[in-house]
Amino acid sequence: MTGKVDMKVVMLGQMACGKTSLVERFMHNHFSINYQTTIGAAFGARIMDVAGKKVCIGLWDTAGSERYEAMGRIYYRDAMAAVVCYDITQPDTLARAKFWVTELNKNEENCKLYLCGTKLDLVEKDKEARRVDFHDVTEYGKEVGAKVIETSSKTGENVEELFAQIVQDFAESNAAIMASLKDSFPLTEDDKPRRKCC
Amino acid sequence: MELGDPLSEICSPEDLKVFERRYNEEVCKGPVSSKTQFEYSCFLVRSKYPADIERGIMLLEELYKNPDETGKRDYIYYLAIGNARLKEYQIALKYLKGLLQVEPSNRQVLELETCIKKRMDNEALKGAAIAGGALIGLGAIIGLGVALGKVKNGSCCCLLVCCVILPQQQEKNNKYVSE
Repeated sequence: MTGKVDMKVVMLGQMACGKTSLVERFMHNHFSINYQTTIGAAFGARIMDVAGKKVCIGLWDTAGSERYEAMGRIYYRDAMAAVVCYDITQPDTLARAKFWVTELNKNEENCKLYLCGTKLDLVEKDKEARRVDFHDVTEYGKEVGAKVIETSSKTGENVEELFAQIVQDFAESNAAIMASLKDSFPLTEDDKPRRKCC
Repeated sequence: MELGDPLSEICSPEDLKVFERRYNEEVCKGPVSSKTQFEYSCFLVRSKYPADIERGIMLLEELYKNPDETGKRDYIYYLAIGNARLKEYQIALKYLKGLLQVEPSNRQVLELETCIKKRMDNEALKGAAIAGGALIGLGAIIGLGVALGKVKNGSCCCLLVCCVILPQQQEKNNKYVSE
């Protein structure tokens, strides 16, 4: 996709914690059971309506494998928001998420943080599967200035809500950029060239 | 990094330098780790200079040939990017075909393939346009030659007036106006 991206969002988190699935659900409303490791980073864009404006979100879905760890910084540079993912059934993924949060807070002051617990459907099926407590993460989120949400890319639960929240927050803190964007519903009356009277 | 398709993603020279320094430091100490070599080559193949891209391809091939390596699909993907950026489209497509045999529905690979094919089409179109333009030009010269050969002196003069003298006159007039 070419064209201007109004807001850069980066996806970070440990390998296989569900970043690409989340992007797949958000971008294509689709869930695939096949697991394929992301190579480097994949880019996707979607336009969302917020506050009467059209905002084009550019998503950088980064590879979680260690091979790409050093390149993470290239991808999160100048991001307006970061979705830091962890798998709620795998506690070690939260440790990795915390690493990214620290890194982002240190290097990208303007980047808003969203801690996203993935694979919620697994816990709904079997309560025992949960290994990361929601309230613990919320407390941690308060400390570091990150919002917390739990999603399921398989069922789609909370996925739209997560990104709606992200653009909403973007709209509230970037009034100048928002004013320059196109309206969601163009005002046809005003668009017509007015005929000058001689 | 610029946004857009995977082929127009260009890395900044500053980023390239960071990874180059790391690579060179390791070279001085002894054998380079495959992680460092891979990072460096990822940036090389996305440099704007063909010489960098060639070096990146060389380093990736070296990694790929090592039997102990595990991340071969990543190397192949970047080899495809490097070759495509050097306009070696057939080689790039061959690499992608290999990847698709293992992962037929890999979205990143499919997107890169579409992107390469689009470039090939565009370049074929451009080539055709240039060839077409040359052909028209050639046709015009031949046509003029034939016309000049056929017509007698009088009409020949007429043609000369139209093609050469009139525009010159026009130019002179323009000069007067501007003066």
